[in-house]
Amino acid sequence: MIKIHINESEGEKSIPLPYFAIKSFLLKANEATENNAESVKSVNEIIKALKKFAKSNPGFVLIDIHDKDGTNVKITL
Amino acid sequence: MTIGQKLADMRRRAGLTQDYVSEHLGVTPQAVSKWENDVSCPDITLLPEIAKIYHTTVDDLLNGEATKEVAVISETVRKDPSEMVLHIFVEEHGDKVKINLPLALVVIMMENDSLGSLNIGNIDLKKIDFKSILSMVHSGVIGKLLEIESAGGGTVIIEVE
Repeated sequence: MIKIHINESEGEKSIPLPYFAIKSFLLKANEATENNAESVKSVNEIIKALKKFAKSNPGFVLIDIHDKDGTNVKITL
Repeated sequence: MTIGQKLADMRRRAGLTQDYVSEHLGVTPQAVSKWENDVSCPDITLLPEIAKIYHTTVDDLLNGEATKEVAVISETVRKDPSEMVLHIFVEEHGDKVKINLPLALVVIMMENDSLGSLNIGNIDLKKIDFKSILSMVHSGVIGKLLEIESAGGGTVIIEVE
């Protein structure tokens, strides 16, 4: 499970995203279809690598964004 | 740099939150905060585990500088590449973005050319030669491998740990 944490002046939000949702997003972003087996394969590999890394590094921050208005967005494993 | 600042810097570079560290070590988040603010120090028995999750050594925790300059690590003491992380720091017009990519993921993204499509704000990472960076890492080179100041005032730093 990947989590998106949003911390802004209005409060904090945490959005859990299951891996199948990430996979679906990546497939769409890579325009991976049945006719594009290579793209599908690499998306599967990305998910596999993320899951493996998450297992030994739970809580790992993949992306940490601080904007000048004080909003902080974190994507964690 | 104080030990507290070093601990905070190393934790951030490892991409961990204070909450995660406290939970992992079985201490309170306040304790981690106190260490990082030099109010107290971690118990000596916790140092090996702290070093492990911060991807460093006890020696580095106590003596080393948190900001790693470039170093060449000999093959015998080199970390397994699957445990290494590539950090991309981008700062532009007051916005700061930090991306921590497990090296295994970088390899896959390079193979399918996804790294080239990574844009942050107005900064285009397409021109960065990730292939050469990866090749350096496989030769044992770690630390701050790249620092670019763009004409638009943005800064990009790439580090490997």
